[in-house]
Amino acid sequence: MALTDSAGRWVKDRLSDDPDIKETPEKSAKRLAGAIEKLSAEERQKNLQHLRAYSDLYYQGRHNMAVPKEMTEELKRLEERAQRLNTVDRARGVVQQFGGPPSEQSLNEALERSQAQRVQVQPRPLPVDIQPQAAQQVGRDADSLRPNGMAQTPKVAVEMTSAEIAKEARQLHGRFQQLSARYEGASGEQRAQIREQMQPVVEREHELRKEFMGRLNPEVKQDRVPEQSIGYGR
Amino acid sequence: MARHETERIFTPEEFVGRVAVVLPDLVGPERFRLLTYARAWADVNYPERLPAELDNQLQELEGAWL
Repeated sequence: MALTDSAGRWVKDRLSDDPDIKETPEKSAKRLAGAIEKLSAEERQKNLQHLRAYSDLYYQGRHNMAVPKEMTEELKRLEERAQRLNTVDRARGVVQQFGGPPSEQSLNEALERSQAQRVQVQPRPLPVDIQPQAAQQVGRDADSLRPNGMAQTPKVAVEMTSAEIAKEARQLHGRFQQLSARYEGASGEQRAQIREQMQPVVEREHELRKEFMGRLNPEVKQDRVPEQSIGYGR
Repeated sequence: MARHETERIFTPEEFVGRVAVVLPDLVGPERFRLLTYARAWADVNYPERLPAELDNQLQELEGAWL
């Protein structure tokens, strides 16, 4: 049956005089497959669209039949080949952009750039009075402290041992004294900044003290009931 | 490492293997760059189709680091 169809198409092709159909789509597909590697991505796409349309015109138009499965599969293969070739073309561009074929040097350069970027994002040096050395002078563990003198990840007071509370409280006290000394000689604007730095120190110290006192006397843990106003301040 | 060794061109398989080793020491953009480079180098060397093993290795690295 296929042979009869094929023979019928051959006869009709010989007798037809359609200027748009000059050869079978299979022949066009073969020519495209031979040239596809040399084409640009855009030309590949254009030629594939042309071949698909030509195939529809030939089979569905001239011969009034569905496009054969073999032709559909050939078109699919050509599309996949075109996509792969486009990918390889882009890859060539990427390799050129990155300096050509890779070597150990390429890796070393990437490592150096990473190192340089890490250095760039390191924090700026702290002011003298809160540099790690200064922090150590007031008996604090500098590595665990933020610029404002607070522990980086302060533990919840209830989870701390009494010794830990005492240690951190001493550190906070040292920090507070340091800030107070600065406050004395500071200008108005600087004082506002220092007050901002003092606030978390004071709050943390208060939290620790409350917890510590609560261990000595559990009642202290409870918030005090506000005293009745008697109409004047003490 | 001798100069000729640092300049020796990697095969795609060698490059992917070396990239896998240095990835943890790189910052994000450099990881992306090297993985793109590795895949591009593999594509250039295997224009027909990437070997399945190499493709899998690249996919694993891309999945883990990108």
